[in-house]
Amino acid sequence: MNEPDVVIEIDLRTINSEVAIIENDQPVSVRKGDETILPSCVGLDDAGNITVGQQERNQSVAAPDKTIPSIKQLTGSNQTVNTGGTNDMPQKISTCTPATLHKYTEDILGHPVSKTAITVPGYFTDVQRPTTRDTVEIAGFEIVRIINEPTATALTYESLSDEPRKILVYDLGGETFIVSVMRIEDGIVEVLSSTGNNSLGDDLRIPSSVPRRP
Amino acid sequence: MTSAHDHDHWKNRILRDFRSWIDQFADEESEVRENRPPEPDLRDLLAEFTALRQEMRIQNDEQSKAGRELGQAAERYDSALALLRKREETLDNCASDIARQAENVCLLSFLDFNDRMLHGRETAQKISQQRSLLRKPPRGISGLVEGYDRAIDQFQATMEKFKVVKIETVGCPFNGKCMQAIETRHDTSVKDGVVVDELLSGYMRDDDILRVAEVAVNRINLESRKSYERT
Repeated sequence: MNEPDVVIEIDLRTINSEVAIIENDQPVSVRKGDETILPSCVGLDDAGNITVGQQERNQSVAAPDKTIPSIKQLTGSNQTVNTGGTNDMPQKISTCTPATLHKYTEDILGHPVSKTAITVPGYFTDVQRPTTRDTVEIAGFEIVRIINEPTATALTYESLSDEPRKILVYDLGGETFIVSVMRIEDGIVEVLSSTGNNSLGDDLRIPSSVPRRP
Repeated sequence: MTSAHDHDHWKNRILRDFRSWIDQFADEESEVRENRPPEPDLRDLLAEFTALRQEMRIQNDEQSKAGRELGQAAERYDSALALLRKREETLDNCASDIARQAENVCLLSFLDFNDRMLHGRETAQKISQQRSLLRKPPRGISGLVEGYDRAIDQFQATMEKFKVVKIETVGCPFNGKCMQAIETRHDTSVKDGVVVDELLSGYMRDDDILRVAEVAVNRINLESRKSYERT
């Protein structure tokens, strides 16, 4: 029996990453247990292996020397990362996230997956884009398309109207806040300008133990 | 004279019978010959055998082909049956997973409720213990504490029914699978990496973590630097 030729979409974010597929003409996030997202937090386990996920995020405060909470911030830079006594390039560390997503997507879908589209921030430079491409390809994927994140948003939410217009897309992430001005005309989406802050600070999530006003 | 005449008579009679027998024999032989199939010659026989052999070969081929097709059909049937059973199993698993996840979501909401109950009991207990000559505890505060106790006991009994257990944290080594470190503390009397305080209780249900415990971890020799520093 031939396996379906599925193209998935990987959203490699600073804090969390996600995989989606098209099911019945609708994008659906691939769910692993109760979660649809994988924390993009890289860590070292006791054996010195590089791992990624929620467990690594959980240890980030107790073991900051063994944890890299947002490796995406270093994409395309020459800054090395200390992983258990050795200094590695960020590209090598970054491969863990798509590789982990690759494995669990295949486990959940029940068949091999090799093709993917990926999204990258609109502000990514010409160095950061191919670096991201390499990272995902090393994880075993064939990249069919790279889409700017605001472009993907515009295509999803604004593609039904034929009227030429300019829109503003804001992307408030866990550690970034990016605003993009887009022009949509004749089905073509163009990023006119994109700016923001991609380093608002460490993970901004508030622990559940912090009392909240009812 | 008479004797010669008798002799001729007998001789003629014998000859007549013999002719009659010869004629009858010739007729019978002719009839047998007419009814007998024509005798084949060797070439015809060989051709017949070759044709028969060819026909048997064709029949054998057809039979083999039918056997193969039957085998393939049986294989397809087996694989379809296996797929069907796998799908049935997947559906069953999905149904039980959905039911379990729905239960977990409900239980998670009740855990938040339990946290508030525990907090309320703690506050009520503090108030009930504030005794001085000038100020007595508010009337009915002991009843309030008792009410909290009963509600919390009932809640814990319900949790046990659903096999929900609290994650032990304080005094245990930090475990990132079921605990999240919120802060670090420095206490030389406690081992490095041991949980010294629980800020939010965590709960497990069989192998599922309903909620991770938020904890403070003791670090004695924690390097203040991160694995990388931003430039």
